[in-house]
Amino acid sequence: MSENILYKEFKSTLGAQSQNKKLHQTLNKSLENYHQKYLNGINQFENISSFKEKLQIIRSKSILQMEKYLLQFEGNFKKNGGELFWADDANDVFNLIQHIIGDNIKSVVKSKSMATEEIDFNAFLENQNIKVTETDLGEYIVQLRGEKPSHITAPALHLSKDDITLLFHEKFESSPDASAEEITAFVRKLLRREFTEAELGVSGANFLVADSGSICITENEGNASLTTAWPNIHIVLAGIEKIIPSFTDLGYLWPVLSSHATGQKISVYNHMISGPRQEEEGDGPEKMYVILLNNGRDNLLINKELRQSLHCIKCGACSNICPVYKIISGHSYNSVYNGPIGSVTTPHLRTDANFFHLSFASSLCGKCTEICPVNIPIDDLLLYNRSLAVEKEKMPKSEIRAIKLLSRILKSRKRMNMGSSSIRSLAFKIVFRKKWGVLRAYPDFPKTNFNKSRKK
Amino acid sequence: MEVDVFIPCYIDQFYPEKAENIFKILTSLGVNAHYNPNQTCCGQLPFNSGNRVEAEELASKFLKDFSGSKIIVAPSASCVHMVKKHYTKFFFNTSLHLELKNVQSRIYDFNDFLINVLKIEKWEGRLNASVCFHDSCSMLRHYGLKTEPRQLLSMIQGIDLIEMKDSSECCGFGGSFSVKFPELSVEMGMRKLQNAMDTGAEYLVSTEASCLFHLDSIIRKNNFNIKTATIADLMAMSMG
Repeated sequence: MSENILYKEFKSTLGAQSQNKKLHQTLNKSLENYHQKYLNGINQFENISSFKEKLQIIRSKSILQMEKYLLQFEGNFKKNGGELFWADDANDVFNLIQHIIGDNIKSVVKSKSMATEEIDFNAFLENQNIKVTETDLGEYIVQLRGEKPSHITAPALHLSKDDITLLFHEKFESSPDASAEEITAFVRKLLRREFTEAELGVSGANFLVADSGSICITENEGNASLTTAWPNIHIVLAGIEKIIPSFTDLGYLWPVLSSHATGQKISVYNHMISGPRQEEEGDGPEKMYVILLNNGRDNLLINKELRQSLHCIKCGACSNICPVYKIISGHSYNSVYNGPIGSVTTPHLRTDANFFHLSFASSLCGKCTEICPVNIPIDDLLLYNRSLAVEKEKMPKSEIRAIKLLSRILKSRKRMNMGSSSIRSLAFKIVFRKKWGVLRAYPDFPKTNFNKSRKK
Repeated sequence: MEVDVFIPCYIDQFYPEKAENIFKILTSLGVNAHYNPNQTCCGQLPFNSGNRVEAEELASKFLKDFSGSKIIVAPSASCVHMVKKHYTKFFFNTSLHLELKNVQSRIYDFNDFLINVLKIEKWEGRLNASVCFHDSCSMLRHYGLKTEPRQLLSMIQGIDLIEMKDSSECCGFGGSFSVKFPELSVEMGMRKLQNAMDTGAEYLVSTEASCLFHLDSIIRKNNFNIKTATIADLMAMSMG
């Protein structure tokens, strides 16, 4: 772990990724389009900064009193006829699923859920010969490609329209120049069959509402509607941080989530599901289960700085405007949660490996903090992670030592004034040969530094 | 007016003429600018690298070097932000609490100082040059100024400001980021420079010399046809 294998791997991809013009073109096109929509979307708020403050209060209340609200949610959801389980990690989830479905399930449909990505849920089902179909178009595309989503709200952001047309041509022999509309229509038809055959629908949740015992899902494709209503069983897997106190909070959260995720004023479909089908109701699943997932979130919760990262409502806006994300795209992070907020949380969620280098892979430009709809001080938390990484020696010792050495020079005026310009220049070239000199010209060192020349 | 000037470590080491320019301008505006020769660094470099112990040592030294009651002026919103915001992490509720608040209340970025403290409304100086302006992350998002630097630029007669695409996008320097991840840092710089060169301007101007340090090294490596300067550099040049 101390060898920083992931750090080395990460660095080794940067040369190619920074020159991946095709990827950059794809990302730029989508993200510039996003930005225009975003600007339009936030126009609906008279004063976005005071709106964000209100959201920050709602989210910090939710997280600080998480235990109380989760128990309230549990009580109300059960009252509505649902069943609820608590899972600490992936294995807990798998055991629970086994317990719920037994051997009776052959086919599963899923709507978008990052919590299931966290624990490789699909692989678990497929190992038992259960067919799993992602029903969100973007998720379906990455599933066909055998990839993880590259973005938390736009799973196939790394793919161009041509990439997708080619994929469908290869997999389904559709026309090699099918339009986006034709592909969507084709997938819709294909998925209809999956919906009607599936015995189990699995979804995530955008929010868990304590005072009504409801799970909330926001979407644009209608696939979550079918996933949660058609099959006879509905299982929800949701992180514990999704809790909010009251359904009245949705009036704030839903519009801000939509405007930051996609630039819409509000998403097309917004569901509040409070339990399984009731006696007088015509549709909905017979059984509904909620599994609340921890999976390392307690590591964030116990730390008063990092706790703020749990306020995240997973809109993905920080990735959309991140200059680093725009170069390397989501997969390079090697983590389900990527982009700026992923770089904050992953080192603590994934304690099985060392992900601290992600917190250093930022120029700290502050755009993430500026756009965050719930005011998470993302760049500040990246700095905090860096201090933890140094303290716990999670970065190469040589890098930590180099800064210590430099600081020793910076602490002393005498040392800062030592050496001629040619010696300084030589030292710079030796120390930064690979890190500076390959892609940039070396700086010209003046004959004397300012302090020395002023003393003369 | 009497002020203490802080010259950031990289300006001290690489750009003595940029430091001279600050004194030249302040003096011409009737400000008596003092320089404490013991000063070194605000501590941002170790702080951004996660070395908080070393950063705190440098911060304590800074508080000592800039004790007193004079206004402190520094040609770097980035260093001033370090003092105004991050020093709180070290000294809040400690024996240095009052010194901390005292220094934080007296320190200004150079451009902010000219516009909002000295309240200059015109600048005697002419320089015929076309420029584009890069909003540094620290000035725009951390320190929080967008219009002041442009106001100052517009006071120099003969300056033609052409706004560039994505002027608020990061240049890619980011301190230790630039050496830990050179490929990312340089690709961000290339994008910035492309947008700058697309304006056809003679100078890419910013308030932050560290951005320009990084961008200039990319310009020289690739023989790009654009020069870099801080606003203070242009003001000094305009004095003839």
